[in-house]
Amino acid sequence: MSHPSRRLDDAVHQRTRLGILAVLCEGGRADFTYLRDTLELTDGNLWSNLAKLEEAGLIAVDKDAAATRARTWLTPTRAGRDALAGEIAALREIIASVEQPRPERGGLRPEPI
Amino acid sequence: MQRKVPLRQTLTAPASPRQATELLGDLADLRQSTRRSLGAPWFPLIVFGSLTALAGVLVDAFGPSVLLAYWLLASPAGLLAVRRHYRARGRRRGVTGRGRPAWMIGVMLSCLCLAAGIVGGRLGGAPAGLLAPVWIAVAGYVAFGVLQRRVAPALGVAACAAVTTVAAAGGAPSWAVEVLFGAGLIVVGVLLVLAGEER
Repeated sequence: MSHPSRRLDDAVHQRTRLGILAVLCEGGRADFTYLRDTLELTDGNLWSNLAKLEEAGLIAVDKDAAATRARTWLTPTRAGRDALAGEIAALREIIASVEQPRPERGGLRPEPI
Repeated sequence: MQRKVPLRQTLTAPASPRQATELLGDLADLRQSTRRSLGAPWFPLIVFGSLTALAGVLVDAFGPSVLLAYWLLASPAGLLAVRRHYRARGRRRGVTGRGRPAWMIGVMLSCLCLAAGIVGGRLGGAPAGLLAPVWIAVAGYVAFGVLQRRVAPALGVAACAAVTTVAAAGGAPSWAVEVLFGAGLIVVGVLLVLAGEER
């Protein structure tokens, strides 16, 4: 069986992108400013990560031009929710892999010196 | 108030157990912070508590026959008021909850309460007609609780339903049962605000 870390999704497995997905999946959608302030990111950094998530089909970007000031709303897709759940499961497996006691090798005890 | 939860800049693949633990902790903080921004569902409690208490006043004045017509008008009005409130709040705060599932639960809950009132009234008389929607409302708040990962509102509504059931079993008049449940919902809503669940 492969190590759980091999199952981490490259599109998601980056702290900023994981944070974005965590916020979006906890709510229903969030706007650009809320994400930027919550995650303490610069506009450029957030945009580049949003572009990667959108490219991977994990979020949908919706520009609300009708508002008094233009706002960008981000919504997680079904694939995005699944990707976050998979990522969290993989991280938990990584932790569990060291918490489980190691199996004894053939029941042999170390010989006395 | 929005809380800032910076993620630690630690993770590089493959993750070590320590890094994984730290990252999971950060994600949990972020999710909690987002939940706090979303706030507790106090507004529907106040709206539907007020509507229920008003129903009690109408029952006292015109008798239980007025309830069907009243709820056919009051339910959609209440749902629209709640939807309008959450849309405005979402725009103000920049983050919204899962609107569509919540809206579907709300509509289904209203229809089921109405149906339970009619069927309960026909099968078990006035007390059943009053109490069936009350316990349907409890089930609805449990569903909301699962959706929003909040147990407090569902527990509050269940406590109101229990008190209302005891009052009805003790022979309280129909209007008093309605007013009691409605007032209970309002109290739960106010308590959620006072407890800081809503900022």
